[in-house]
Amino acid sequence: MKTKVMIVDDQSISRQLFELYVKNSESYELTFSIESAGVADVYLLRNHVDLILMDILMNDGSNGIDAAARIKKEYPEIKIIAVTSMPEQSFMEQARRAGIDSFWFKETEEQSIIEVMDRTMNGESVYPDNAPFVRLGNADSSELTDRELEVLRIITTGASNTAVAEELGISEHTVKTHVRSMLTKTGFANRTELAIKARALGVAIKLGGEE
Amino acid sequence: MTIGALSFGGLSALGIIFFLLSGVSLMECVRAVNEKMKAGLIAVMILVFIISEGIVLFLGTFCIHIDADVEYNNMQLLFLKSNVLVYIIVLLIIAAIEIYTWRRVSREIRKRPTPSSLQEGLDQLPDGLLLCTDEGMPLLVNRKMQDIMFNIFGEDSYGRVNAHMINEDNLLQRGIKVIDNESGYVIILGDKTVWNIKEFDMPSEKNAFVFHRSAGMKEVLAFDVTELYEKRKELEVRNEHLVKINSQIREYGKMLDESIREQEMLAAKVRLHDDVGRCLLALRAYLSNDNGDRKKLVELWKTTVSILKMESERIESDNRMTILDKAAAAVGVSIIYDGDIPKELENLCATAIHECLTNTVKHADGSKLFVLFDGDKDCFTFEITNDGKVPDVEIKETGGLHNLRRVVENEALIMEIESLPRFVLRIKSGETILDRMYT
Repeated sequence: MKTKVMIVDDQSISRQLFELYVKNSESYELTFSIESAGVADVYLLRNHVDLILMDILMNDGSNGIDAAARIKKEYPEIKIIAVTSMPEQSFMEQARRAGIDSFWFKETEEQSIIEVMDRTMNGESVYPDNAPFVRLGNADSSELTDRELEVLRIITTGASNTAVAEELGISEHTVKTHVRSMLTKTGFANRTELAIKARALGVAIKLGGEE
Repeated sequence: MTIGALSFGGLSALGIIFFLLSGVSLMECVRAVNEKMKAGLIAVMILVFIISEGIVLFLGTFCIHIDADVEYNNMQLLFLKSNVLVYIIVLLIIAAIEIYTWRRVSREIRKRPTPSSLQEGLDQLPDGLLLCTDEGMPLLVNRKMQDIMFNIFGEDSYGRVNAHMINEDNLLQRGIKVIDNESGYVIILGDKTVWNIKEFDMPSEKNAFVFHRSAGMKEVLAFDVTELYEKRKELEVRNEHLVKINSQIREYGKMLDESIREQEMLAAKVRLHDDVGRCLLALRAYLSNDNGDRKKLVELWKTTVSILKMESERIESDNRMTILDKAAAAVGVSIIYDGDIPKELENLCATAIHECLTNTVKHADGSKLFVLFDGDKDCFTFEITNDGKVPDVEIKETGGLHNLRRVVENEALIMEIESLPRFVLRIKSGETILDRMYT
């Protein structure tokens, strides 16, 4: 019996590519291909799905990680593979916490999505060792500490240093220290340039909570 | 000159010296001490003076009688028997005590500020100081405060300074700008310096000043805050700039998501076209050299053509309501709308519809969701109900409904739930149509 697959991705071209892989495979059968993680759980109310390919960032404000966490709570038997092209390091950690079974970066050539699907359905949890490293100015994205990335994620939303300090429960002085350290490592001229580049390269993305 | 006369002269001289010393000491002590000690000191000094003069006079009389043939009274006889040197020594001791007291008091007095030294010291202060009665009569003003008041009011306001006069625009000089009058006054003078003027009440029991017995006093202080003000202005400009930049970053973030999607689509297309290129090369090799697996080549072309077909069928993204409709249809539920939901409320209404759709399938086993919207984005009522099983008990708001209420109330809207006779979820604005009619 073929594994029933649901594809959740807001980009039509990615969705269609995944559909093609699934249709061309003998082991998998496409049930639904939808463009919003926000309604993925609705489809499961009266339909049986074995495996979900879930994109993380959606253009309607929903995110795949929150949707996957909700689905896993109701339907723990459904396997979920998170897919993304963003090299944001924290996505893997967040995916693990949400109970997502496997993780696949779209841009990597290491394994095909079909291989990851096969291994996941066989009971494996397939996660890359690291997110792809991206050049951020003069530094590699791996050179930034976890705390620095946390600060950077919030800064990319346009928050002031005070708002960053409040959200992380640290002092404003500490926030400025982290920003200074990142500017030194990357060689960017100012905080704004750092935030814009980090966001554009997908190094630091703050997922919004779903309503 | 007889011995008696000489002795009398000497003792009289001593007496005069004592008199002078006592007088000087008395004056110094009276100047230095406070009210309570004054009476005591004066009394002591007068007593010493009297005793010393008494002794001197008596001794003088005694000396006169040395030569004269007179009858002595009992007191004189008593002194006659005693040694005159003793009295001289006593007087000298008294004199020494007086000199010592006088020197000590003088040292104390020299240490204390006089009114003029106080004034001089206050005039050196960089800040303004004014002490006045409750009625505004000045008691002590330093030079800086006089300059400041002159700058503000334009004339010698010495006689009638009251910090609250700063509130009266017609009293102010041209070019004076009052920035703040909430906690004290912050004023920019004509010379562009900035002063913070504050008035404090000084209750009489804490009043240490002796030169005016007013029931209450006021202290007016003026601090130069020019540098602080300039830095504050600079900070405000920078903060405004930062707020603007942060807003631009947020806007950029919104545009960026779309831009990144476009980039990813472009990257995917480039890969696809690379695949087409490889297919063409493989085909050419096969046709020219009969080299390669025909079956695999056919499969490769099929895949590539499928991808190219996909690329030509561009799919536009649906809006959130359409996405919900499709999701509902996938689980056998149709959503029936009555009224148009404004764009500004789409997200909120979609969240509510999603929640009700889930509950319709899970609990009511229904197949229809009825959505009613009445009003506009500012004044509206939005209702959702469904077919299927009706609740048999009052619905408790947990999980999704609880989260929905939080979202609704954060928008300052009202959410109501009815369980019986059928489930109704209602979201409405605080203002009703009736309210609007009567405002």
